Amino acid sequence: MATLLAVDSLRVALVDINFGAPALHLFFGLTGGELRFTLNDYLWGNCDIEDSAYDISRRLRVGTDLAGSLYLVPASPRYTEVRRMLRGGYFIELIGDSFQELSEKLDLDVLMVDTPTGLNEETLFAISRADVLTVVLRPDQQDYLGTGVILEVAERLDLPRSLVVLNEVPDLLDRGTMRERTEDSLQHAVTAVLPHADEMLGLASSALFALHYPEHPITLSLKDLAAEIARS
Amino acid sequence: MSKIISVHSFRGGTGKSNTTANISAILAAEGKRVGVVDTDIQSPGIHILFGMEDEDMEYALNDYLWGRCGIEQCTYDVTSNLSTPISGQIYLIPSSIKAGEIAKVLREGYDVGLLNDGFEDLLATFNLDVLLIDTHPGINEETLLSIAISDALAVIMRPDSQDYQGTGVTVEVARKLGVPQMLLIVNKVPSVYDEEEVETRISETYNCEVGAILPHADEMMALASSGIFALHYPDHVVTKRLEKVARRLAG
Repeated sequence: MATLLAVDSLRVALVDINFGAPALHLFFGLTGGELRFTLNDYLWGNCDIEDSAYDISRRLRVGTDLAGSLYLVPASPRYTEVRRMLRGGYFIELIGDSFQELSEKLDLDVLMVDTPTGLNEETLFAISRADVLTVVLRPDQQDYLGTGVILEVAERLDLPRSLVVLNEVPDLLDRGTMRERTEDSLQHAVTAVLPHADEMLGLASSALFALHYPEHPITLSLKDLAAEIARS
Repeated sequence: MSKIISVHSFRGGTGKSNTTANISAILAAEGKRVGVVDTDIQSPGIHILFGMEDEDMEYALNDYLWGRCGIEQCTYDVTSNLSTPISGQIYLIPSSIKAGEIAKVLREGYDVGLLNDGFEDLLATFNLDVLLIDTHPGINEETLLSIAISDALAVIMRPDSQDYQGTGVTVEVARKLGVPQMLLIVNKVPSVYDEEEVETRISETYNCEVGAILPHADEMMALASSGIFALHYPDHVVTKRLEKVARRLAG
């Protein structure tokens, strides 16, 4: 979604706060060795926020020119640094400062934050600062339960807007039925229903689906969703 | 002698809880007394696979960690909830699904050492043959402790570059912590992939044995965590391979 917004001429930054399982940089072909500074370094006072922001507008693997700009702020994939981030590893409010500084210094239209799974300090903090929350789930009983918890938390934090995206719906299930069932279970509207796609598995997170398959129904849905989010 | 087995994955959505639940049911069906602990405090869910409702959960692991109850009070015999009668027993220690309880862990923390004491009490109180620990994805304190005290570790991954890189981190951690036995389980492998090639590539990449290659199964997705796959589909290729890896981990 971040890339689609940048294609559509917005200035976007994508921030990985999944310190326990960092991986967002892989989608943009960045290896650990290329990441001189990461968000971890900013939080530890080793660098300025712009040192940890990588302009990836020109390095996307498919020959699409972005009308806008796309910056990635990765979390460190180095094991010793992952461990250092465990409880007590930094001052959480600094994440808020990083959002603020990024928005100003890079003149951003949209700042998108990729959070860890489940309910944890980083996720709570990001939700408390957000204008809009997107919750992604699969049609699975475990996901229904956990998503209910997250939506409850978002409501308590007075988040202006929460969007629910149902992902990886198998072809053998009817999407309309799945949407209804999910809405009933969560008592919340479902904004998008995305089918399971073998092409997504084939790509194996090594590149961006939306650029490889620009006309795929998933890409078109993501485009609508991204636009909806940017409007919020 | 009882055996502690941790099940971990670097990323979410790999099928970790499903695999843990299936391994526990397979071992219990062979007559073993099996404990299952949900240490995924931030995103619990394995209790759903055992047909346990939130309202049946008077106490959870969270209560034990805060000294509100003994470990045996948050342990539930879920054997009779299963779709098929089995000869062994499954004891589940669930994590709380209440937002307030999860937030309390975040706010106040807890003594991780208590987890270790709880595991030991469980083994003794319920005379367990096997204790399976379902962990939170990624690297965190519960995971490090669980891995450190385990006799065996199963690392679940999908054939996906996010998982490839992260699994390397997990394998490195496990080696540093000196886990006696480690097996990789490659899950949700698309049917178009050459399984032998996947197995060779992965075992060489991590210099670690692959315990099972599990093909993507529509039946698993359709079940949607509402039950235990191995009991619903006893003759499925995924079940057969899970049986093999379960015996190796418990053996």
